[in-house]
Amino acid sequence: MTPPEIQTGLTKIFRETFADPNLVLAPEMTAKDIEGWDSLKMVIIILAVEERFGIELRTREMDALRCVGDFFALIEQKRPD
Amino acid sequence: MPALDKLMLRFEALGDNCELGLVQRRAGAEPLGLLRFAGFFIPLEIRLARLLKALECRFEGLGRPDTVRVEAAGAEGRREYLIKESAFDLMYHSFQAEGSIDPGKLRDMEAKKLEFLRRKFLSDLADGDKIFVWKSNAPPPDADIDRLVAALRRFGPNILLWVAEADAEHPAGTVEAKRTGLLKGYVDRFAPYANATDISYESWFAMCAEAARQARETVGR
Repeated sequence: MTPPEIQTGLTKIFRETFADPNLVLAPEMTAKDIEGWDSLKMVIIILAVEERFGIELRTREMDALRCVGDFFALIEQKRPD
Repeated sequence: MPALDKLMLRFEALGDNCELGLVQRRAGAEPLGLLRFAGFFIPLEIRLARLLKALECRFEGLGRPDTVRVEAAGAEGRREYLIKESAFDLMYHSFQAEGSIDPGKLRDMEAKKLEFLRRKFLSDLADGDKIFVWKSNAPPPDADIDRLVAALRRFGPNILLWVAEADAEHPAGTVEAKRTGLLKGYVDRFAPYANATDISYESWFAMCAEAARQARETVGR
């Protein structure tokens, strides 16, 4: 999976989660930048990331997720070869 | 001292309500926690006993779709869906307004979420990095707290922070190391159950900072 494919997949997940078809992600975006991004939405995003990218996140990895760029880096690091 | 949001990420709520979860939110920390906003929907006096039973069976079966129910509740015009879970008698807000989502779809999502949060909770217990917090407006017997410490430490080298209301000998912000795996912290008052957002935030922040400091000093983390 290439970085653009990760970007596309992640964008789709965020757009579906926040019901915003025009949402454009940037690496530095945090919960403060996206309305409604609370802990409950975070669970939904993580579940979708695990399912879509075929990875399993450890609890320490989840706690370290602060921004969109963190998701991108973690998926890139854990994606199956 | 670490930044307030980082500090508050160290704590994980065990109940008996969402007070710690809201304190974390005020600090800008949004950790994922099974019992952060979900509470045991049973009489106050038996909530700790139910938590002990749930720990004993590792919340086995949590998230089975047939145990999750979606119910609309609240005042007319502001009704939202509540989630009720029957295997462990948990209840929590979905923050979804009535009619904004198909209840069946919401139930399936919530079932998956509970299963996920159980996995994370068990992982947190095994890692032993978090400080687990029990508070109750009805003070529990010491023996029950002992059982809770023992239950937590069966999973890993965990610390329980037992939070109580301050008294003459224990001003707000005080934290006592009672024994291995048990800290007792004091806040000036708890929020009333009927008004869960009426929280003494500064008191919680001060007490948590001291608890984290003592946890670092006594067990090196």
